[in-house]
Amino acid sequence: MSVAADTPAATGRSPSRTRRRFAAAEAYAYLAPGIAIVALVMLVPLAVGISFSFQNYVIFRPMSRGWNGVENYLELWTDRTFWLALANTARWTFWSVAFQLGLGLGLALILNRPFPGRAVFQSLVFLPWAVPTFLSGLNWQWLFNPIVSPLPGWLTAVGVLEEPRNILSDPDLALYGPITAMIWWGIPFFAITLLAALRSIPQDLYEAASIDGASPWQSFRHITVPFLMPMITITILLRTVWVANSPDLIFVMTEGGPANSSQTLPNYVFTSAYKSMDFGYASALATVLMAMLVIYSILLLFVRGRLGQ
Amino acid sequence: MAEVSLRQVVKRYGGFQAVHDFDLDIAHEEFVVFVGPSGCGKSTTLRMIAGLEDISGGEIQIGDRVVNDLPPRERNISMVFQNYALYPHMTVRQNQGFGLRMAGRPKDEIEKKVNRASGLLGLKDFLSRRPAALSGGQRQRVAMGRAIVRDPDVFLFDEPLSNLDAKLRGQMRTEIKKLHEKVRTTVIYVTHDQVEAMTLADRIVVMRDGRIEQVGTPDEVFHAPASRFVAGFIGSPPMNLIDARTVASDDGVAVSVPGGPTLPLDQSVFDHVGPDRPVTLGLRPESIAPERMAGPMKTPFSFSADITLVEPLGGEALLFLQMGQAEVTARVFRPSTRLVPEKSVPFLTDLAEMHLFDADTGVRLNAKTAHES
Repeated sequence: MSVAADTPAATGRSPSRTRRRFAAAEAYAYLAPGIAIVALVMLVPLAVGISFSFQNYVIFRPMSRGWNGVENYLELWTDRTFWLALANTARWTFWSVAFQLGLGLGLALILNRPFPGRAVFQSLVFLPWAVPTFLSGLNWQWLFNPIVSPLPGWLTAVGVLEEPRNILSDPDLALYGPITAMIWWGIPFFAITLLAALRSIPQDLYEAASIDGASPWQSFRHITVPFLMPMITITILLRTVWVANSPDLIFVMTEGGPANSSQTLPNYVFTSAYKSMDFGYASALATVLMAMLVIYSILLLFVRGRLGQ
Repeated sequence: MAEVSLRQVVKRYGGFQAVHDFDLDIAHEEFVVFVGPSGCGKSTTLRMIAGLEDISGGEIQIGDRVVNDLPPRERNISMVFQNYALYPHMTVRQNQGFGLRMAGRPKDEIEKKVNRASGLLGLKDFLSRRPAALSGGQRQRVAMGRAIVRDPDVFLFDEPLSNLDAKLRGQMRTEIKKLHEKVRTTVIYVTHDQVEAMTLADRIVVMRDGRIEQVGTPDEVFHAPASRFVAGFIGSPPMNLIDARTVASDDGVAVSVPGGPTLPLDQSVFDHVGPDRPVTLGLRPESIAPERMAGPMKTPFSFSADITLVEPLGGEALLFLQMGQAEVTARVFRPSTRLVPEKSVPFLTDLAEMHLFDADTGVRLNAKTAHES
């Protein structure tokens, strides 16, 4: 035992401590380039953007630029369009993600069973994902146009519309045009990720369950769903942030109109910045959107952690 | 009560026939082992009984029901899988109670049955753990617990021990045997390990290329193998199978090993075997020994051979000897002296334990003996 007590630490000599400190510093030195790049391309623009939101910064009036405290946020509080855009963002995101999840899961379950021609069908299913959003926006805009497309007529025939007209020009329905396009475009993403998760479920668990007397529905409920849950939450998280932040389909199909009825926050940010040229106000809008998405993500990750236990 | 009967059961995958006209009757509470090399159709047959594979022809009956078209969940069977197939997101308790829960049984009944099974299998301390936190042997126990809890008509085991290391495999084998003493149920057990088959089975079904080679008690398949294949498959080290030829001799017919001894045939056993016929001579390693350490034999026959290699195993030793052109293994229990390779050693073998097979068909040529019924 006396040999063990004779180590440098026990005898109070210090080289090991300096060496430890140096080792810690060494790790940070290796990390430094990565941190520097992240800071440069993400943190700095973020800080600049947030700082804009506390400034009076309108491109047309360069002379009046300057700090104005929380004035932009106060303006936002009383801005009816902001509240409308916020409600629309929630509607847009919720319906898009909900249907993408439901239909994507259904598609993944179908594609997980062998049937003739599955390989071809599978690649066709994933095609929308490859179409640029801009193009699919234009296509769907045409599809909702009663003059060139049969779709409004069909919607009338099944009783959704009372007459074949363009829902994109109806303030009450305009947002559902881009939502439909978004659902169509986003299903493959859910289908791909959920199909991958489905394929990772060991087949013999289903065999064990069927021998244990589980019906197909019980197998789905007690084996498939628990296995898919982590993937579902992370995909919902990703897609929510993605969909909530994406202005392109709405911009192409309705430009937020008619009369702001399909305006969402990202669109409103874009309009404020590049049409009204009010960078200060646009930055305040963007900061609020970001803050809400951060809170949402934290909540969802918390829920996921609880589920994983 | 659950007898299991298979009548002319056939399995085809496209043009490939995996199981040919399988006929078997399994009695209530019988422990039957399907054994054979991989690809012999034993697992496929088990999965057809379970309902995990459709049958292409024939009829399967469990108890008094024909189950051909019933899904697994309606057959009232349990199965233990090779890789356990435990539900990783459920605790040991939930895993075992899953079947009862799916059947909508009351909570206290599930609790009672899970506790009973866990007691039998020594799982009480692990009930709230997940499978990932268990060792291989413990997982296998949970899989068995899950099977017991449901009180099935038939237990199916699909190579349950092949993922375990050798020592644990031996222990679990004993436990399965004890378990069958406590929980009397019909068991069908699939393995490629003939030791498991010999130790566990009431009856062994030896399979090869989708066909049954022999059905019999462990004693029968060991002492009276129906074919050269069974003879070589059952027993460790395997039976010596020597290409030989029958010849006419002074008192009838004898078997001549090329370049080696000529062994007389007992005419009461081999009266239908004529001279000048290619045969395979089968001698168990246990029935060959050097003359100076041989035990009592019914019909001893002595010959001389060279010992080429010795593998001492402590309580016993394996001798490799050259019998004419054939290399033959002998198994000597408690060798009294140190054995070393040497030339022209006098050996004894017991002609009463001699097996003879047709060289072309591999069919056993011995007439019926006491071991055969």
